[in-house]
Amino acid sequence: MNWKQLYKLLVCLILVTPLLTGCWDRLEIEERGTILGLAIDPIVKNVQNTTGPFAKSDFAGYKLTAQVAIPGRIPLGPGGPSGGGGPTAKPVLIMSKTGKTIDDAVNNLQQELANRVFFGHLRIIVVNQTLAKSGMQDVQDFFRRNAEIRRLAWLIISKGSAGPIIEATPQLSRVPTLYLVSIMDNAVRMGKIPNVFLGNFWSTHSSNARDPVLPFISLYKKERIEIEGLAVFKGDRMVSNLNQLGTAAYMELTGEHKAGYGFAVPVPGDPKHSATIKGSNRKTKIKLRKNNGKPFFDVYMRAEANLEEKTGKTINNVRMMKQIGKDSTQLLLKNQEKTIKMLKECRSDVIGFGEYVRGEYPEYWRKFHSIEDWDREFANLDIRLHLDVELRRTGMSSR
Amino acid sequence: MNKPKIVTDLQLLMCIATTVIGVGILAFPRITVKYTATGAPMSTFFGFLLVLLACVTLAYLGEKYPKKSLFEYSDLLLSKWVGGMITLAVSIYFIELAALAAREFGEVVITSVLPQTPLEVTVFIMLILAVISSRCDVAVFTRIITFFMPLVYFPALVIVFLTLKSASLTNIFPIVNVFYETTWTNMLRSSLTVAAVLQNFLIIGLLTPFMYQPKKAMKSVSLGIGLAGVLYLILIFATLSVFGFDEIKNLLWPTLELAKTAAFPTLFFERLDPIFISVWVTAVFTAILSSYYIALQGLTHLLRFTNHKVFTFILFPFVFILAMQSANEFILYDVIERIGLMGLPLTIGFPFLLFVIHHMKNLIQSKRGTKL
Repeated sequence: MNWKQLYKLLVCLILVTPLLTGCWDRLEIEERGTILGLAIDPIVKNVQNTTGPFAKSDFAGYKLTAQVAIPGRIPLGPGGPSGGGGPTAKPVLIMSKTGKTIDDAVNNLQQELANRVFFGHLRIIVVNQTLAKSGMQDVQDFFRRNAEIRRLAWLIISKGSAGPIIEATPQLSRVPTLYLVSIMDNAVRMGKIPNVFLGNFWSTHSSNARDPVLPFISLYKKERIEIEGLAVFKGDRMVSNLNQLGTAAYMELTGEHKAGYGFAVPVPGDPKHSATIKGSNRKTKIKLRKNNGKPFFDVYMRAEANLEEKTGKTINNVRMMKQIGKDSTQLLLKNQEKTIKMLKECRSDVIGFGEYVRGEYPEYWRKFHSIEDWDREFANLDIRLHLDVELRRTGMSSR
Repeated sequence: MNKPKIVTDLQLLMCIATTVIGVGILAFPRITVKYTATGAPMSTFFGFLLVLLACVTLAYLGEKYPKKSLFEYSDLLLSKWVGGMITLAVSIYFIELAALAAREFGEVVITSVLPQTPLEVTVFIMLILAVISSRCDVAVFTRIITFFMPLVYFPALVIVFLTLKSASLTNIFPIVNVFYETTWTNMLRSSLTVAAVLQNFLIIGLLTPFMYQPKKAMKSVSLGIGLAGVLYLILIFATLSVFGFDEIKNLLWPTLELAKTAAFPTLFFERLDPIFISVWVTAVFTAILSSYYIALQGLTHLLRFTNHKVFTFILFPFVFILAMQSANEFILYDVIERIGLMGLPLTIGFPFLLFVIHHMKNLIQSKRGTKL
């Protein structure tokens, strides 16, 4: 080998070495402690601590319940065992740790877990309502900074403690978190709840003109999960919650396209029986108007609905269809007015009227410097509702 | 010096459109929103207009001096000494720009994808890649950059399209907000920051003499920079409508966060941010390559070398050391903003100065002509 060849070889080697630098961050999938779901509960006594005595937050301590995927046991397709362990082996491990801050608790979790904690597949974060009521600020900061966390993850408030929700194993699915996720995803698809995810919460939380909402769920009989409605926030504190009717009103007012709630109205001329109708889709226009420089709102809503069930023997006709439409309009309006009244009492503008003032009437918006300022104004805001429900179809029955 | 005719007008167009898109696209929504809130699209537009004007000036000069590069006709117009000084300043400035871009790139990569890899290694590899590529001649240089253009534009547009679902129209109003939330000085500052992100446009001056038809430069340059401007506007509108201005202030890299919000409706391909990052790396590469190339050409011209390859590896350690200067992200972004604004008189003022002098010379010459 002469010098020229050696030189060429050396250059080649030097050029190839940079390709190896990718190995610094090599982490095989078996070496990851993939966390699928996380529940956060408040805890006062016996708080563990690893990050030192200065670890402090708004709350005394947090209990983290994590659902860690066991490598090779997550079923990939429908049915059939995949990987080792057989069909009876549990695909996830549930771990619980406490800490003075969220990061403290995560560090504690890491102490017990051989694999590096990995949040890239975190799909759901459940937060106890007690924590939400004392403020989400210190709960969410860790997740905001972590680059692995995706903004599309669900952030959910639980009635009662959050841990059991993550631990619950419904019979329908082998991976509890994925089941929980599919509950939420399907609820959005069917128009039961608005699509409010983690990133959405962050954006509304930062805004000075709107308060956030989050899905509100509860657990009953230890394994069934039920969507209660929406948790209403004021700034970062949860102040109240909307039940299913309130959630329907919220979605009508914000103009979520999908409508999913059914409701019953008395059959015209036959008050002993009822007709149940279900919304199919809707359209909402929020118009800001001014009266002597003071803004007020006209909310125009149009909903289309179908007849789902009718008890009694009254035969359908054009007049009755119209009457049912009118009756349901009245019913929904009453519900919406009740919801708005309740929101005004909590002083929480979750519908986002403030955004319209900020966007379309900036001269007026200059007076407000924080969400508290605006919420005070919102409590006295004049909001006029105009609703029009059109009954379109009666299903396969002609009567 | 005889220059081969190798660059077509379409190549010039694609080149300009790609070089001005660099690391800046990740952070510019935050910086503009910091000054102008919802006026950010407007200031982006103003910044773009300023750069467009400078680009058109360069194309015009390129047509008037079809056989000379920017540094050559600046010598002709400004005399050897003044022209030389400006050339030196431009070269040093673009060395610093390349260094800052490499550093910003390193910070993004470490925070978002490769937390264990040392910063020096990420920056080193990106720089060495640019250095090796910069050894080629103009033909290859334009081809490299042209090649990457669809790779830069297409994914960015796809991501914006996929995030439209969570966009809200009220977030972008009021578009004109200088009378309520911000002042004209903030508007100016924000526009200038956007212009500073686009500074690589100076590459036009180095490519026009190699064109088959320098007369077509005007059209390709304005279309090319127009494409880039449209992409920047789309990105600012998308980030603003998805996050709202209050949230953008909280995000270090709003555009990256936008990619994290995008999701394919199917299960297999849910996360898009790793794809976005890998694509964005090519955008950063072309930007660093062009900055480095401008600096190289400037120095080559200044020292009257015939070949710029000598400098490629000599400059490399300087760029690397410059890139390692800032202690943390906050200092880095402070430096990036300041250096960007400081360089504007140089990069944007330079073509305008040449334009004015070109016309003054013509005027004097024609007056002399009539007297005689």
